[in-house]
Amino acid sequence: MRKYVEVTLGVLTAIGGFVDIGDLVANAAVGARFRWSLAWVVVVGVVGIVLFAEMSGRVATLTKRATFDVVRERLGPRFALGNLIASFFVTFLTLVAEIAGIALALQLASSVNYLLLLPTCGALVWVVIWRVQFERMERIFGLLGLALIVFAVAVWRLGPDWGDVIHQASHPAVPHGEGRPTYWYYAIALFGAAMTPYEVFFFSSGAVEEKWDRADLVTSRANVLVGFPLGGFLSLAIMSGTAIVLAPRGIGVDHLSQVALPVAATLGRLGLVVVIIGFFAATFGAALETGLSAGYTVAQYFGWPWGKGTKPVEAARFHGVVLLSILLAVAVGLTTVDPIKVTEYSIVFSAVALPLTYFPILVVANDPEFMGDQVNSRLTNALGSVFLVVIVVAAVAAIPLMLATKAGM
Amino acid sequence: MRLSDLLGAEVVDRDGRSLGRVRDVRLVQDGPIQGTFGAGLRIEGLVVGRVAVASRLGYDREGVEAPWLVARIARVLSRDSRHVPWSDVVRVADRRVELACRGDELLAPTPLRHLPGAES
Amino acid sequence: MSAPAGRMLDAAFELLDRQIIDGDGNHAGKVDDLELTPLEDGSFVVTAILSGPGALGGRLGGRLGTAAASIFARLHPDEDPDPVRLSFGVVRELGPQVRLTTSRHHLDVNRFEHWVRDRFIARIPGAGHAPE
Repeated sequence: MRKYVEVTLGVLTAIGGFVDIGDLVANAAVGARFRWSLAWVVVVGVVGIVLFAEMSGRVATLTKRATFDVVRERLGPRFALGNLIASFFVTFLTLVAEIAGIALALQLASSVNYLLLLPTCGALVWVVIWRVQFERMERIFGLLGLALIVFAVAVWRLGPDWGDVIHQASHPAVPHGEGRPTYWYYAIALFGAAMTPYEVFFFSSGAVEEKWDRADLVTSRANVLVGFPLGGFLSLAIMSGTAIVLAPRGIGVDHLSQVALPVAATLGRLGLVVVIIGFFAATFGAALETGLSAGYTVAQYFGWPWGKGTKPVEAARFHGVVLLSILLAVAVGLTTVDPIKVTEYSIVFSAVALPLTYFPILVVANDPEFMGDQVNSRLTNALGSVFLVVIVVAAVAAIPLMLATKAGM
Repeated sequence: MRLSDLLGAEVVDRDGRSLGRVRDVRLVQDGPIQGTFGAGLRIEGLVVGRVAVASRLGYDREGVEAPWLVARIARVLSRDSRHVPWSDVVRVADRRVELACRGDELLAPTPLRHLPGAES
Repeated sequence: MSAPAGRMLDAAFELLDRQIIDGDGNHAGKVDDLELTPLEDGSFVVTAILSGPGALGGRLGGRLGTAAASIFARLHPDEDPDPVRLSFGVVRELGPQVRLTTSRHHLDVNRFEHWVRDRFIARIPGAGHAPE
């Protein structure tokens, strides 16, 4: 019975924790502009993150090595340092976006300008990392994140012509007035939003910190295999909401309030309250994960002591990196950069950096020296190889498409 | 000497022909006792090749063959890798390793068996 | 426990860049380089693990590596410091991690860690307690 509760809680946490500011913005923006013609990317992205997270979770569980430890060992110090710089930059950019996202969510609730709220939000994120235990932190924000289910309720209430929705989703075509490069640029953004590297840094480091062993593999697989697809379902609900409400009126998404619009329009004040809670939990949870991931990557590259579970004095450099990253992220946020733009760049750069960590994990997950009988199955390898190609193509195409479309203008 | 003095050094055979660079250093545990570790690790030979990635990924070991696509590429890239017994090394200086033998006398490195067991 | 004598391994692949775990199970740096000592018969034996920026800098090469090594030299109190050296005699086991018999408190790998701890982290309230 306890095990059952444990698995259920884990799955619920994974659903709530799946969506972050990147998913909120990307899915809403794509729904408003492309309706359901890019829905297939969410499905591809979810399969990708399930594969990637399952492999890195398994590697971490069996070898007690988190992702960046593996990266350093397989790629050597020079290449891994380049990788560290790229991955850290992307994670940092995401951290800026998440902290700004928390502030934007609070702005929706209080009408206080988000810039005034930013420093407090950064401080809160740091205090939770500093003082709240790992599992409790995960549970609280993951479960609160389930509030985003309100998007699915709103879509159901809006009652679109499902036949038409399914037709659009299954016969993807570039909508009139949109260029092919723009379509593919948003496809990559959506893909990057689903497969952000920090999720894997965090997940694998958590597995090491929580001292998972073979017995926990079942639980971790359940979290990933059930939780992430259901998280993807929330993404599709967000996309559907803007596809139904915003797209016909020609409204784009350049503020978080527009993401909430479909819910507010159908479910009124109560819906809006729930959606704001969901925004807050999703961005706050992701800010914790990205803040910690900034520390994880650096500490694991250099072999420093790291960990959220121990006393901070026993992982001083790790906590130093986390603290500095949060301070710097708040500072960047305060320069009045557009948080939505930062989010869009962070997910596109996520797609660019992805092969750097995906590839070494795929290789090590096949190494019998480390994995024993738990090496990848044939199915995992077949899918894993297809995704390797997809990920590399997306990474290579991302920057040229960004330049060609002026970042999707 | 440090291991990094050898790694990446250019390897030149008796006739002055380059065989690539030192990609790895093969050790055998039969040296003088080193405290709790037991018999020390002694240099047995060098793994030499033109492409760096190949040996680093670990596909030159026994039983590592998946995923097929990656293994295949790694194998192709490590085609020209050779094993140099330490006894054939004449001189190591200035990131250059000089050999007493000819390049075409060298054999491909024998794949090592992987260490047993992930969990200890 | 050490493996049977005669075992073969590739140093760069199976030793370098691996995580060092000390006798208490704590992270204690990476295997950044190895010290090789000549024997009378012309062969070389691994006598120490070199760890930290002083050793890593040399392997990174280029401007970046030089910078890393010079920062290390500047932070270090000695005039011309050697990189942190862990005698191979304290190695207990090679595997996914390199495990040592001694505690990291007896090793010199933690200078920078202690500096960050004493100057900054330990001064923040709650630094001495695990999160709840």
